[in-house]
Amino acid sequence: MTADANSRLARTCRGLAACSIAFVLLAVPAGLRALEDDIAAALRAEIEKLQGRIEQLEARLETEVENERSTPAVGSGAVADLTALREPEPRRPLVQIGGRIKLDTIVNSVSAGGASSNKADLAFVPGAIPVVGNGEDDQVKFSARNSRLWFKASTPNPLGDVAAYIEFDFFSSDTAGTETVTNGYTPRLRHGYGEWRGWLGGQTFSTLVNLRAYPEINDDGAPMGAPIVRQPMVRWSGTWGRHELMLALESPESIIRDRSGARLTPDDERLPDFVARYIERRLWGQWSLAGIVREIRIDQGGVEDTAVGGGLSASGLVRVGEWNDVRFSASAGNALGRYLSTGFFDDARIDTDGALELIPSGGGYLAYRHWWSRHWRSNAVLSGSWMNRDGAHDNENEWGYSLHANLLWSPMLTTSLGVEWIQGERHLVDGRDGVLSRLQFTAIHKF
Amino acid sequence: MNRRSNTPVTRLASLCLLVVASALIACGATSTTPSARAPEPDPGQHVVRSERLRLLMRSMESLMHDRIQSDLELDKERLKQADELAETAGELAATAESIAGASPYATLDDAARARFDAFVVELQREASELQRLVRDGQFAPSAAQFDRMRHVCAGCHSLYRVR
Repeated sequence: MTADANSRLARTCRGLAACSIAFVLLAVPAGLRALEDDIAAALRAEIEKLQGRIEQLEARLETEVENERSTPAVGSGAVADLTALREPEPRRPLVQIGGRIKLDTIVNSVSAGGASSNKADLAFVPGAIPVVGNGEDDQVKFSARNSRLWFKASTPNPLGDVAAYIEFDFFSSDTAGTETVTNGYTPRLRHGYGEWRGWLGGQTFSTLVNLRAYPEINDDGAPMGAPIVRQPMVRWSGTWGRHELMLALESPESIIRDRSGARLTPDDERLPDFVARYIERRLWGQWSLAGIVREIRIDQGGVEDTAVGGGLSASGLVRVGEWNDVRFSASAGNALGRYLSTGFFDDARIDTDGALELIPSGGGYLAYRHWWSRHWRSNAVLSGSWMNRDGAHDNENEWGYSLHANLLWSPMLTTSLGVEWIQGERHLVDGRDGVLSRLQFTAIHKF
Repeated sequence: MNRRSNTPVTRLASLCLLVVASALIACGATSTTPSARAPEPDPGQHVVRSERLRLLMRSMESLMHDRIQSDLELDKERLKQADELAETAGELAATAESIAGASPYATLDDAARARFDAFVVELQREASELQRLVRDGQFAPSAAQFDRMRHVCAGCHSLYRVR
């Protein structure tokens, strides 16, 4: 190679090198700028696309919010829509079981004696207080017979749910259990009724009994002057705000004293007992007025006669502050016999002419409850009843009174333990009388 | 002219105009005032609701010890009382809010107001929960919830109740 050729080659190489450097210095940045531009353009496009999507979603959200405002709320969002569209689940009949276990330990000052079916040793039955000289002194009894079992059911119905209730205890006097070995007792129907839209059919407490004004006592009997009857009936109830009205046709039965002074239950009535009750509820409690009209009839032993009578009963519950309440009942009439004081009086007697003579009678109670604390409370109930003794036989009850006083402790809402003092006296027309003192320890657990 | 304006007829007409104008002004005043103002805060209503709630709660608790009514009867009675109780709990919460406009509140400093407002919110929350439990028929949890609400009441009353 010549020197000229070498120098040309060297110049060419330098030129190429210079061109390369110039390319790197000029072209690469230009390319990068172009790439950046492309990326930026792509990003702008993507952003625009996303903005469009966001606008679409916002518009949809607004539409849905508007729709939700204009339709009843059942939830929120899409789930709500699905819930609204879903078929409502059919309601099924509901059956519940419950009851209570009750253990009574009772110390009686006097007992009428007899078999273990003598309920008067376990519950206060004024007419069974032994009069002087007839009783057996001092007695201790243990009993779980006032334990109860109930079933209630609610059956859905397009025309209104139907409720049913049945309750038993073991306080029957039909079959006496032996206290020596097994202490088994027959169940007894307390309640058995159905309800539909204010209509009640079956057996429960008479409409004449104001259960909401009934005092809280350990005793499973009743205070002397209290109306207390359970029987079959048809009852309609209506409620208007604080006012309630009940109208009932109830099973009739009469207690009649014949000319010899014997007690009869002739079972000859042709008309049901008609009972009406009005109740007004207030924040301070409630008051109620009830009335009854009855046919008393006998057709046996050569006597056939009918008499119509009735009675009125006012009762109520008055709350005195948070920790006290007063309950009361006052009843009077000329045909209240079997309704008052566990059948203490008769409804009528047969006079010397063979005609029915209605017996005016009355009774009442005043009960006071005081809560010592959230778990401790006491009740005191003073009660009495009387009848008009004109024309009465010597062996008829003329008047009586009872006092119940207790101290109860409820460590839980479902469980109560308590002790109760019961004092009762009955006085007969011939001047004889009988007094019962009872101490009753009770444990109750509801389930 | 003067004589005419003094006639009994014109005097009677003027009197009628005066009466009508007065009546219109009075009616205008009475019709605009209530709508222009917020309802008067009434702490007394809060006290009334609070007392009612206590009584109802005690009454419902007493039902648990009832020994004579059938459980179906008790259910009906519980339902009636629960309705009333739930309604009263709601009203109690609402009346608590209205106390914020009452005169003792106006004298509180900012920190005390904030604390009072927090009590109101807490009371409303507890009352709503009580309402829910009562309406669901959950009595035992309702009693516990009532106690929780009473703690809120006691906390607020210890600081702000005007004695």
